[in-house]
Amino acid sequence: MKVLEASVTQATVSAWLTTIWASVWVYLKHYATYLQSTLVKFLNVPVQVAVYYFLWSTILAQQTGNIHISPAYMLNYYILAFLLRWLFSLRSVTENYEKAIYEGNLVNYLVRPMPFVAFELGRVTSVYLINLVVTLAILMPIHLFLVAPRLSLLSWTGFILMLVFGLAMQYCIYSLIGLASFWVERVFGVVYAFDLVMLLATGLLLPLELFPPPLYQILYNLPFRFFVYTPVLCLQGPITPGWLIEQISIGLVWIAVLVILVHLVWKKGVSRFSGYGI
Amino acid sequence: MDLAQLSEVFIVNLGIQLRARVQWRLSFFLDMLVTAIWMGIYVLFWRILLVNFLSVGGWTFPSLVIFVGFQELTYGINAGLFSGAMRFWVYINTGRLDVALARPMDARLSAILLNIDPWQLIRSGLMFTLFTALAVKLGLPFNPPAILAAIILSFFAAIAKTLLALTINYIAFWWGNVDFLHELIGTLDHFTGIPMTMLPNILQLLFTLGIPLMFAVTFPTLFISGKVSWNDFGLPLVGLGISLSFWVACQEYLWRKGLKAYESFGG
Repeated sequence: MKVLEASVTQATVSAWLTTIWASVWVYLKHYATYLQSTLVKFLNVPVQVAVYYFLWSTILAQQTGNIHISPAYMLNYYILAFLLRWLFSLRSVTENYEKAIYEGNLVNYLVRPMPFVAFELGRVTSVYLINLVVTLAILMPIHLFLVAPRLSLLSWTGFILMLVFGLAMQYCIYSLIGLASFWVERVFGVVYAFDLVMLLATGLLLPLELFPPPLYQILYNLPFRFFVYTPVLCLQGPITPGWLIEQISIGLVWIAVLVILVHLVWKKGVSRFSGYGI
Repeated sequence: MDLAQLSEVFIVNLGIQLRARVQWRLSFFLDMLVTAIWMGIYVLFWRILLVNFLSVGGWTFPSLVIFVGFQELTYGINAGLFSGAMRFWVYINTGRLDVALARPMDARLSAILLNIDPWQLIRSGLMFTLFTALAVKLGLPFNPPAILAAIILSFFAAIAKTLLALTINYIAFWWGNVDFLHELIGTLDHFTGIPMTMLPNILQLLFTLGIPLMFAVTFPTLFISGKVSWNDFGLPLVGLGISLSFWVACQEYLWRKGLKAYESFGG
């Protein structure tokens, strides 16, 4: 049994790496083929940032409240936040899980020694890699221009780490929603509602520090802030090693919890799955 | 095709759509719930800004609640009535236009009528009513004629957006697949996400006289809130009229040019 498990693990890693390699090329070809579409979709980011910049310029021109923020800070915040949201949105993970379970294609993966999760993770990782290169290529010059004096190696290390943590958590959460298809067939509505809540919970619409203290505390202790707010915070100003270690600890705990949850739900779901021929 | 036949097509389609919705009651409630969450999030967004900064460009909380209501209503009008125009290029590119042209109804009108989804309109209408009631409870003056006038204005802004979409979609007569242009029209919606009085003057002018999105959400909200009176209504209406006429002419011109260049599916 142990030999079988070891061979399955080896096959999983091998499948994962093969999928990443193949997917990177497929997606690069896809982006090149549909370059106009890709560029216009990307146009959403500067337009959204501009709209929020105009909103904040109006608000900050009056500055009648107790909080004082500079327009450059907010501009920087929204550039980062919308880029992260646009480049690393993982709704497709849920859609693919739902499709595989609902339409029964999951059977094709269950009879192979390579789990479905390896293929899906490989696909997502390849998109991550391409998007990460694009993100850094865009962010580096912007940051050199906007916040150059505050840039530090620790900030960039923290950003990359929090980005990876956030993506791992997102992958697990979107997988969990997708795995609910074992019980409720269609989960598109759930993922749509989840995405809406994420507008606030991740800090995309507003930096979390602007929320009322009780709500801030709740959101701070949930994993969603790692999707946008925490990575952005790393590049918003100087961070301390102590703060980064705290974030890494919290992040690792959440990742462990979510990975265990995905594993348990997957096992439970597959045990009741009745596809063609099963 | 006369008006009676048009109405018949519309009513038959309406009946089919409504019967389909009644079959899926759970979807009905989930759809309402998701819309309520979406609107609630944006109301919370404005509330947090007002609590922290005390003023958001002079807009009060009740005005911002009705602003969110109008955002939903505009979405409902566009998605419910005019979604057929947004992807008209598919008709051209796939040759479905051949079938539409062979029928005794204007191909553009049939594309719009056959894609009407009354549910979107009903849902948005219900949510708009709910948020209007909330805004009134929060202190917004209740003025039914002003609300009606504001809704009509929003409807005409949606027509202008539809004409713009059709004009852009006709590029498919020459370019073929223009899916990216559909995305381009979508980016315009971001500008209606905040009160347009916060945009720079040049953009305000563009969205009043060029692409009259000012009349979709911002102006109707200002009108209901009492910040624009009936007396101030005339000049913006002239602007909307000019803009509508421009887009009617533009889309008609390109439609005729496009039909001449149209070679049908497979040449």
